[in-house]
Order: sequence, then structure tokens, then C-alpha cells
Amino acid sequence: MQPLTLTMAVSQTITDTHIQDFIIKAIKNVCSTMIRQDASFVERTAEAAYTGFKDKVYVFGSVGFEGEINGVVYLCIPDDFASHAASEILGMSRNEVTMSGDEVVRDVIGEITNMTVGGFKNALCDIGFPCKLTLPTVVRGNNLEVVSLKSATRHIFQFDCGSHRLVADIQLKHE
Amino acid sequence: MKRILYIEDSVTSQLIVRRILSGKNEVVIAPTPRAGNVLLDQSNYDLVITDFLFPQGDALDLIVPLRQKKSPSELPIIAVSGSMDAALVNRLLKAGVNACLCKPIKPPEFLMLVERMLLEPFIDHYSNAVNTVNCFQWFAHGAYHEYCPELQQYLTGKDRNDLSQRMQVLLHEQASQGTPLGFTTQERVRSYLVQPGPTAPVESSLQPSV
Repeated sequence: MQPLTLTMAVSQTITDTHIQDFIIKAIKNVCSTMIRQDASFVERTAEAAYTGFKDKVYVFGSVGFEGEINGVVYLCIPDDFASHAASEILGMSRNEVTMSGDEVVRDVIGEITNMTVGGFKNALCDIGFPCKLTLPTVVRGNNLEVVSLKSATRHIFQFDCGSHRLVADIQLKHE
Repeated sequence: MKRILYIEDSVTSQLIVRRILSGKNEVVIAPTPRAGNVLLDQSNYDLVITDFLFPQGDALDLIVPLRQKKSPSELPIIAVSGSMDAALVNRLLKAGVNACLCKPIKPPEFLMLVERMLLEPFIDHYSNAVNTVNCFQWFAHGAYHEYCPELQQYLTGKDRNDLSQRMQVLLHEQASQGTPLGFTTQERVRSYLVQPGPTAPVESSLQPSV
């Protein structure tokens, strides 16, 4: 029996499973390559249960995508994990990262967010939704909160990387 | 020692690439395409590596003018971006980039690409992303048979080409209805830029060796 390959372009609809699979793959790839730590998917969270950012300092990185599908992905990262990631990626000690100032951690998280959302966006392109990324934005502080965009569906995923909890908050706009 | 120009605005990626490539190479960094153009006018490099998206524009601001001066074999360009989808790859290759790589960079893969590009420049070609569906065809009892596991469809007939066409029609019907089929792949062809050397006359090459 001989396998026969038929090749064709296919456009699909974006399902919840697509979104979950794409963000899990993107986060695992970036964590293992950049931080050399495995990230494990914990759960998909309802918006109402999403209140975990009041008690300590967080770094929020966000990158938007525009095209056949529009939206934005926020990566919500505890500040201690952001410093750990910066020291791992840059080959610096935690003290050196602290001494280097806010800009170093912001740049690392901006690049991590860019790569993660890039991977997610590339997967959307592969199933027939071409779109382009915007530049990353990074905010660092406490009492941060992601606000729901108008006419957008929100998908929130929690991951564990080492002893840290990361959140990917995806908002897809319906035109 | 080879000279590599890396155009990248992120300090994080600058450090990562410098760490991977330093030692055997001299790595010069420019934070913007405009600064890269200035450095290219001032000095000679063996390879250009560039990110795509910058706050002040994109890498095409560097690639297009550079290709008007130097060919892909004279000065190869590698584009590296987290946003490297099939459309961007095609756009960059059309503009004259030799090869594209998606961030996050995997050091062994990146180092191998850079070393091979420095040794003998080549050009990667990618087709558009395609979905591939595997079907199985066999001949038995005087007829051809074909089965598609994804559609769970079995067809049979005396003419092999007709059988394949009927299966393709079924696949296209399902695809046009939005049924997810197969797996997405991206095909790649690599062209090696070999400089022609001195060639022997055609007649003599046809002479049988004695």
C-alpha cells in the first residue's frame, strides 16, 4: 500500500481548542528555549476568577495582532520570575539584574512577550488568518489589571514555570 | 575572523546573539535599520543579520537599499523575527534576504545557519503554507482502491488517475465547508550560490577517456 499525498490550501474557523493549543505551544517553546525551564499548562480560567494580581508586583507584557483577526495577548508575570528570567537569559546574577535597573527587566519581558505572541500569531496565520504583530508594551507595578476590550472574547490560561504562576490573557476582537 | 552586522533594537536579543556568535566572529550591533545603513556604508561585513520590526520602521528599510548595491552571494542577509509567518518569509525572500529564522533562536540551529552562510552563501525558498492529507491507494483484484482515513471514505475504480481525482474532489468539498483536514506544512527549497569555475571545452569533455 503506497501513501498518496494530496496538497491543498485550507481555511478554517478559530475554535477554543485552537487558541488553547497555540498559546500552550508558544509558551512552552519560549520558556524552554529562553529560560531553559519547562512550563506546564495548569488550567483555563473564567474571567470572574481572575483576581491574582493585587497582592504583589507584576510585570505585564502585551503585544497586539492585526489583520484577518485582531486582538491582544497579555503575559502577566510575577516580578520575581521576571527578574529570574532576565538573569537566566542575560547570564547575569539577580543582584546584577537589580543593579541594572528597570529597563533591563522590561526589555527581557518585552522580548519574551514578542516571541510568545509571535508563535501564537504564526499558528493563526497557518490556519488561514494572516495578521501582523504590533510592538510590545511592558508595564511593571502592583495592582495591575487587564481590562476587557469592547466586543472581544477573553481567554485566560494559567501556567506554572518552576515555582511561579504565569497568566496568558488573550482577547480576540469580533469585527 | 568574519565580521557580522546585527541590526536589533532589543538589548536582550543583542546579548543573546553576541554570546552565540562571538569568539569566531566580530559582531557589530546597530539598534536601527538607519544605523545599520550607516555602518554598511562605512565598512565591509561578511554577513548581515536583522530583526524585522523596529519602533521606527522595519528591516526592509535596510534590505532594499542594500540589495541595490550587493547581491545575495556578495553579502548574505539572515532575517530573524518572532513574527516569521509564511507571508513575511515570502516578502523578505522577494526583497533579497537569503534565509529567515523564527525567534526564539535555538543556539545550535542558529550557529549552524550562520556558519554555513558564511562558508558558502545560499538562498532558502519557502512555498506558502499548505495542508497535507495522506490517503492510501492500492491495487488488488484487478482494480485500484483508495482510502482516506480523515474522511473515512473508500473509493474503488479501474482508472488510477480518475480515482485520485475523485478523492481530491471529496477533499476539496470538505475543505470548502470549513472541515479541518490534514496538517500544515511549509515546503522549503535551498539554492546554493555556487560560483562557476573555469570549465573545460564541451568537445573535450565528451571525448572518451583513454
